[in-house]
Amino acid sequence: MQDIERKDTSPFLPEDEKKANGKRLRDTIVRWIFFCIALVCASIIIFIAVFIVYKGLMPFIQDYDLGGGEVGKDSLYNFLFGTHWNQGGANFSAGYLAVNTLFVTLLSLILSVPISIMTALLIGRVAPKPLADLFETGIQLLASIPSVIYGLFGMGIVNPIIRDFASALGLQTSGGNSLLSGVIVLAMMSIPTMTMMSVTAIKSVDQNLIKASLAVGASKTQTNFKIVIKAAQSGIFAGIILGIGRAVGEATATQMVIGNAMSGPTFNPFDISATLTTQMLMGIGEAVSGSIGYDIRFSAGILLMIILFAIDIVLNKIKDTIHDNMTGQVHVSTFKKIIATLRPFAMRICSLGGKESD
Amino acid sequence: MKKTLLSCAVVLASVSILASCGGSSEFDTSKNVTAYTRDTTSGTRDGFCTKIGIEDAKSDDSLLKGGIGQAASNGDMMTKVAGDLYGIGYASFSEISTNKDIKGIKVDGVVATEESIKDGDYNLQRNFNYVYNDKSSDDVMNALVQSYIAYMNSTDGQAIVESEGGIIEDASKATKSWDELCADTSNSWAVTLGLNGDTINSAVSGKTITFVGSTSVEAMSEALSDSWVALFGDVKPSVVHNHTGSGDAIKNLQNATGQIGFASRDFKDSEKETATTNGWTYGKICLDAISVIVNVDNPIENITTQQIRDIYVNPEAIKDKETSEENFGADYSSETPITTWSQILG
Repeated sequence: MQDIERKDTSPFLPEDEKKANGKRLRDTIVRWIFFCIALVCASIIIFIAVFIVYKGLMPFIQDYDLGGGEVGKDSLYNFLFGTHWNQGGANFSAGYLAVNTLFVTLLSLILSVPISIMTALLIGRVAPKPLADLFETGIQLLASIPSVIYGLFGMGIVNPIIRDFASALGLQTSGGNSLLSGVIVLAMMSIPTMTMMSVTAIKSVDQNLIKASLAVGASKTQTNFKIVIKAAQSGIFAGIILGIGRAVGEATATQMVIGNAMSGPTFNPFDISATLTTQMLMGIGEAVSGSIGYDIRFSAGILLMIILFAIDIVLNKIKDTIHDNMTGQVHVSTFKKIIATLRPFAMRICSLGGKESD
Repeated sequence: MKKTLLSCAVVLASVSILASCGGSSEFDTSKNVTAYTRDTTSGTRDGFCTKIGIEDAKSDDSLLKGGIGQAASNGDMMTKVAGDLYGIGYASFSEISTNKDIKGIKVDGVVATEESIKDGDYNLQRNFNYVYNDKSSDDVMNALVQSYIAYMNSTDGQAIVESEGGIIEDASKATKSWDELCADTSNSWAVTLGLNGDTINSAVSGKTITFVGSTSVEAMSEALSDSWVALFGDVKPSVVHNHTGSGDAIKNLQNATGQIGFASRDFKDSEKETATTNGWTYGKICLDAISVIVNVDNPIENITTQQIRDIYVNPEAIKDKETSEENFGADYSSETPITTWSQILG
């Protein structure tokens, strides 16, 4: 390509100029179309958030017809600290469900994180190529299975095993429906995501690091655990964040195995439990739209979004810290960048204000 | 190497423990009763709680024991009880025959059959009722409402009610088919709508009939209205189903947001009074029963209403709820909540 500089006296023939103009126009149009599409996609999250928050705040603001001439609204205190989903009238609680959700997610992580990392190591480092490819395809397929299938598997296979396992320990479960079954199903569902992300991270570890480790006399296993995993930390962490997202947000599969308790919080793995999502799904088919029983599910949705948001922020913070420690750089968060950009303007405005008051 | 062997042994041992306990389905009466309920939006839960004498528990989870799990639907309830040897639950009578791993048991010594439900011997039953307003200023609307009710009470309509799981109390009451009713010129609605002639009154197509009231009756009323509308051919009325609960049947007729209302319970005296004052007609569509279900391998044959209450109700919560004493305080006299099957089976 030659470097062509456009001047007032164009070296092009008028027809070429026209063509070029046409192309430029087309480019501009396409760019605007892309921009519009991107804008719509990006703003959907805002629409959803606004809609959920609007509907979800109603149970605390508006009076609902409770039948028999009574009206009432939920109190925020009861919503956060009550121990039963529905205590009659307008009294609904979801705080204990949030605790359950976090507990179930934590337990499922304890199961899924080690399994995912080990599997990823096997695929990325240990297994011979054909075997690794086979495993990778298997895990990829696992990631595309719909959640209701996991739920059916949980009902048909996991529940009976948990039931028999519990009775072998001298405990009784509700036919295997238990917190533990929910944890196992959720772990199974988040393993594919975590594994695939970890495999990518492990495969992209600098070969020089590995060679150096082997050269100084470390065994392959030592290298895998002390060098590869450490170097791939950041990618593995991103996988865990996605896995948590799946575990916190899953409703169908969890509802099919967790037993759907009406009260909580539950910490015994063999007791039935319920999470925010399972309780939101429960009875949504029969809940009358416009009633508090319907709108309160949106309030639970706000709680769920807050939890997801909080987890995301905390984990990203941890991820950045790990990244900084690894590279020796100080990571500047987006928030700090924005502040740094706005600071000069803010200073100027402040100083202007100062001058005026003088 | 030793470690590997040891871990292999541990895995084998745990697998064999699992395998050994898998086959046993011997009923152990010392085990706890694991109860299941529907969630508070369910019409079946409403009927169940009302009939076992704890009406407030239909919309209050805290009155039921903590360990009770919720089922998402009739089908889910049956699946859960089928998978739990020590489970107990309740489901609509018309549906329990579809699952062979569960069984309905006698309540207070009465087995649920069509006969015992019709006789009123079986306690856990309820009536599906209707009320309609044909006293509006619009003659065509009134005629449409009347024709729907006539269709429901015809032999054709009764067949639909039965196919939707309703139990017809007296089958001999419906004698005429829809065609016979339309041909009968003494039915003013048939004349007004032009159903007895060749052409249907063209005013019909602009009318909207709104059905309100019980959600439990919704499926039945929809099935009825679907085939009722089809009878009008091209010149048909619009149909809106806005079911929000039995209590709204009369209420929505009162504020003119509905023409035909349904209730999955008998109308209260105050509601009947309102209907009579306004000149509305009410009546019974059919009966519906709730079966108490257990796992098919459970030896239990019979349970009393008192025992069901003792299984489900949280006595502490009942004691706390002193204000509702009049509702169930007198009924709920048990001091011994049931936790194990031996308390029922002896």
